Amino acid sequence: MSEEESPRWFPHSIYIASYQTDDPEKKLDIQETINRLYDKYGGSRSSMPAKLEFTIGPISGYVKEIVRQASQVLLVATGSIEAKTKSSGLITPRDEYDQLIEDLKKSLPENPGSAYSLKSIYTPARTEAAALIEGWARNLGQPVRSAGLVKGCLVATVKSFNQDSLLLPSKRLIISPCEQGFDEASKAVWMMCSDISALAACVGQMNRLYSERELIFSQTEAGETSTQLRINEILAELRRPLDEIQPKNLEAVLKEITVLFSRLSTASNSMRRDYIKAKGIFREMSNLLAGWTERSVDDYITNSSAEMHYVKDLMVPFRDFAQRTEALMAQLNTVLDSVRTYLGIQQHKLSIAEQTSSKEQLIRLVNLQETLHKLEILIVAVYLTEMARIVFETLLHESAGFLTVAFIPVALLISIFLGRILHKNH
Amino acid sequence: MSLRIPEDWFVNPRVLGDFYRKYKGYPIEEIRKVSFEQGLAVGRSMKKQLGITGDDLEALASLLRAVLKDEPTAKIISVERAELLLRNSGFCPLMTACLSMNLPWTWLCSALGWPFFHGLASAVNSKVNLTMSKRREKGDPYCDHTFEIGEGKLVIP
Repeated sequence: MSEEESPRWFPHSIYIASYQTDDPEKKLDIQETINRLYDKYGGSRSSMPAKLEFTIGPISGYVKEIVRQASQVLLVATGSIEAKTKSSGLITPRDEYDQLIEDLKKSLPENPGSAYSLKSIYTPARTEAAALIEGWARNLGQPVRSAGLVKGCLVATVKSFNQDSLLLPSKRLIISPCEQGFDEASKAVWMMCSDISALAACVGQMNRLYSERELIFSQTEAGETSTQLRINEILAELRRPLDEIQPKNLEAVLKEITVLFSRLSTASNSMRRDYIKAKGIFREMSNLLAGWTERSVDDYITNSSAEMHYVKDLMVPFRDFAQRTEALMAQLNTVLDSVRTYLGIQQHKLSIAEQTSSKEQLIRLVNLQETLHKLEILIVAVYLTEMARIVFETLLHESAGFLTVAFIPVALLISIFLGRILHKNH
Repeated sequence: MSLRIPEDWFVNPRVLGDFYRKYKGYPIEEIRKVSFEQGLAVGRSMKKQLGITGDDLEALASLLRAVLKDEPTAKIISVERAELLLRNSGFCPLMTACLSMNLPWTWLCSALGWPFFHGLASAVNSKVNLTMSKRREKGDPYCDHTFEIGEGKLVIP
């Protein structure tokens, strides 16, 4: 927020809420909210950016939309032209400024991705500011989570708790501009509002990303256990004697592994994609907070470190989910290798059996061929003997029978001789 | 706008995404009815194909086993006289589709998933009740589909 744009009065109570959507159809109509507030409180309004400034008696009010990438941030502030200084412990948790903020909040859209409630108190001396923060935290009944000096302001955040989730969508801060004049202090607070609006946009994006996946994170353990059990069952099946494993069973196993593998791959890649998105948000936030050049106060962790720790904690389940599903995929690859090995062994066995069978067939063929050769010799011998008998009966009729019998060995020898000549090339 | 549920919604995440974008504003009860009818048609066709003639929970178990034979995440845990328990665990198709396409898990299960199963079961016996006794979309470790012969209701506690 530039110096010209910021109101001249001192903001005492501030509420910053960020809303996220990727869908242009779902973008909030902030101008419409501003118009409604204008109808109620009057003042001066404008569009581009949508904003409203009004006064109710001594109290001034300000509502402004800040658009940052996929976030719409609403900055709502109430304050006065006079400095409100109180000594430590005297800040009431709800004063007239807070009451007006609460009224204004009723007109704002519900469920922001992140919300920051800020209380701003002007303290000329730094020691007074530190005591003030302690007193404020005591009044709220919540310990201070982080504190630091940012751009001339002492900024502190109280601890928030959420037993059911890592998500902390709303945070409470106190800002105390110190060791500077009232005008500079006012500008410093408005500057902080601008910085916290940018921070709210980043944190809101991260909160939304996390909340969209929170249910899946809660299923990681159960999903992993169930898949692991199934992998163990498949491996146990594959450890059975080779003869008991039927190709049909292996086919079913392959089909199942393919289904499991594709689901795990989809889940893991989607989570990797979200993790990369989260890293982008973290980078943006780190750059923003680096610009704060925050200095630590007493033993408190700085606000910048606390915010970065918070976002880092939200990023961990994304990485863990991706790594755990990838580990399951690695196991499925082992199962796939086992199935491939079994299929290879079975194929090898089949080819050995085929080789043995064709060898036996060859022997049978050779034997058959030999038998045929012998038969061939006999046929030729019979044919020659019959021819000789015809010749003998014609030439030497009386001794034809004797000569035919005597010719049989000769016919056999001729037949063998002919057979050898004919099959010489085979 | 006439409602049409694609046949391959349970295996195709893209189809689920398109369906959600098109019908997210549609009354959920209407979508449930159509999904139930789709399950009923699939159930009747499978019943005929398998030659299932009974109307008890054993017959329903045979049908469910056949329909879910290629689904590694669904398993029939027990079939008793009065109750059949089907458990869905691990990375089911709807869960992975919701994750990859950024879709609302609860909406898809309640609009498409459970009515479809109820329709399947009703093909065996129109008086079958399906109670979603455990639901992962509300944080349970698995989804338990409990089938009982009753009044033909889908109960989502």
